[in-house]
Amino acid sequence: MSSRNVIIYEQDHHNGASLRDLLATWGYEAVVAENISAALKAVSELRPTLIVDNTSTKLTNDSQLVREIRAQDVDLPVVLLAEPTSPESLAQVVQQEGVYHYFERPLDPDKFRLVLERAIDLAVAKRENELLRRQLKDKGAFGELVGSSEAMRKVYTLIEQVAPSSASVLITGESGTGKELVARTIHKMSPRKHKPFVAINCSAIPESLMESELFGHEKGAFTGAASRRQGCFELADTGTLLLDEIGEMPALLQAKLLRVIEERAVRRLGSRKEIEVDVRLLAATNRHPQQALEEGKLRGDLLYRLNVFSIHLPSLEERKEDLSLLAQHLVTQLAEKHNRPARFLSPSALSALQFHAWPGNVRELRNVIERAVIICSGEQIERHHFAPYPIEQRERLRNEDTLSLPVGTPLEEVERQMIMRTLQKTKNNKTRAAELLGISLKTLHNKLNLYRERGLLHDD
Amino acid sequence: MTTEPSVLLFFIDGLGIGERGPFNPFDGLPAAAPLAIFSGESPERFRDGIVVPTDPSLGVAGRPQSASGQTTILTGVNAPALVGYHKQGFPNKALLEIIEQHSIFRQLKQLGVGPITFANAYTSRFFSERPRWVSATTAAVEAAGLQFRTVADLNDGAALYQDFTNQLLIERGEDVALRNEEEAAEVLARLCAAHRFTLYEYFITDKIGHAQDMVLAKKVLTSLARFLRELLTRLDLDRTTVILTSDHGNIEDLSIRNHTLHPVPTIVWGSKREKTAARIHDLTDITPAIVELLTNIN
Repeated sequence: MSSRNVIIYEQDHHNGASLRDLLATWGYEAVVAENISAALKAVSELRPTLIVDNTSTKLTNDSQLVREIRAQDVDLPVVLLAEPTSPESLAQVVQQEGVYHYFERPLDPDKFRLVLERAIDLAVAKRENELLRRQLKDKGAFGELVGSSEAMRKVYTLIEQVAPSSASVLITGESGTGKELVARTIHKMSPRKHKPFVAINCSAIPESLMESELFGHEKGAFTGAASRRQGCFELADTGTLLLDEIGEMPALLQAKLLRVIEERAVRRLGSRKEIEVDVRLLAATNRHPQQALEEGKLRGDLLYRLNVFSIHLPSLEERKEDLSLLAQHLVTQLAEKHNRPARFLSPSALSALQFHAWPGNVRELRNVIERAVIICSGEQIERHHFAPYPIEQRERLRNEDTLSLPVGTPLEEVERQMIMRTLQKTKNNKTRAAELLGISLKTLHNKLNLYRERGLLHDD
Repeated sequence: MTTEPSVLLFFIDGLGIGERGPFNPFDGLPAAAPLAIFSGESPERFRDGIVVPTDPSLGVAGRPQSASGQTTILTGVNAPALVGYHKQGFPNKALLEIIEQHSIFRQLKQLGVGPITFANAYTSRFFSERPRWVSATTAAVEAAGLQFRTVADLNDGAALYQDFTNQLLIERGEDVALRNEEEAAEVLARLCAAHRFTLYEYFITDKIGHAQDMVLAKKVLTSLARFLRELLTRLDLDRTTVILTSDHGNIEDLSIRNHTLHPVPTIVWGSKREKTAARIHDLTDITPAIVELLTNIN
């Protein structure tokens, strides 16, 4: 299925053929349908990305066509080419039936071509978003973002909402939560996906060079500027620019950035010429925006311009339920990358990961899994492939998973306490407790009945 | 000589990012770039190196120390968190086990990345009277089954002593010639060209920090900075990424005998410096960054 499949609905054979030839010169594969049933058949068989409706002598026909197409493919854009008619009737068709765009003849080919390109980009983005939704349902992943927790689902919804637009987005979240991945996903799901994605980390560029990195420079603009250089804004023209760690950008430069955002034009260092740029701006920070504002790390007017839409990424601790899915995903990905035999994690290895607090978030988890994948020589990553538990983790384990008894405790009492402690750990799941204790379920029930008879166990 | 991407990990013991002042030997020291880095100031750049102030505390209270800090740099495991404190001096059993299993040398060998090497030379005394306690780097080299470089290698121009001028070796009676910074840089650059991963360790800085010797500090730092600049001009930075880092602060504040609580500088040079610098936040990120550089060929 090509993303440049177009169906032309045109009752006049000659008109249809000439429109088809025009679209072919622009790289489209167009099929002409001369009646509604042929058009609908083509929609179901060819799965086109766009319908060009060129038969608008009677707009009622077009309304019917669009309605029936919507029943088959709700997102398929329709571009209407109409004879001059009353604006009210056209507006009615456009609004009621959800036509993407309409033209009145005579047609301006340049505008027509531009609209077709945009409509196709939008249709492709919508189809890919639908694929991502299915991927989320099947695999718990959304593009490269992994996790099906409520917190991450909210993030995916926000990405879907904002991606098709050109709005600026402020992405916040602790270090290591995947802010750049979110930015890349927004870019990939936007109509700008085939255009450049440029990321600049404001904390990794020295203050003295940041202006030149962002806006470029002319030859001789400063000592060391041996040749002309384009800045990030020019490199990202028509695409997306991510300003990572925006809170680390010097205040003076924030003011210049604001001017560029407002004027949509940059001036290279050492140049008087303004260069127009069309850049979608994404910004990321691990600081709390309001706090950064109060501390003077971020200008209020810049924050206002960047924070048109904001996405907050949860820490790994806040989405612990995603940990096993994430860990398994990383094992698969990293084993493939390094050509290692590791395929999965043993239950004890997974349980070791569950105990950690992950202050470094997904980046830390990735580092730990990568090390284990590299070291593991078999298919299953075991507990010992990770480093030993950190000391505070051992304390937690001690409290949660161990039983301390004085030397000389009667064996019968040791057994009883171990059974009760295991039941506590399994949240009273007797089957699981019996498995852990290595006894049959029947034996466990017998022992519990005995404790009940002796008044050592109360069911309430 | 290999043309595949390579990494030099240049480890300097006891180098932090301090504030200017009479106790900071870098303050007012001419020709100390790229090592002279001051808190809150944009550093003077040399060959476009990116400075990442790096946290050596790793969430554990107390002054960062050598054994746990070096173990962390060489493995990516948060060693202070593992033992519950910052371990001084040489690694204990728990840290040695971590080094044995998880060292960068071991990881790279498992991945088939090679050749890899530790550039420092060991004297014959090390082999004849093996010390009971060894440094994290020595333990890592041994555990990975790498060959130690010797004084003979040094004389063949295939190794450096941690005091790259050889002055200390001569004082200890070794039959070696003095080297200037250019000659030492030439040797290390050659080793980097022949290997995919090279580790070089320098720890006079930490000793001077403990001795609180301002005169010696200025002399040694001037020489070290020059060695580094000479090295960087000899390396093919399109191929080799240089990561310079430290385990804790010390020499940047001679008002105290102890290690400092300052961040340490991680400086990254090379064509992949920006991406590499962006992924380093604390000392646990050094080893994964090296693995990434040597396994992500494109």
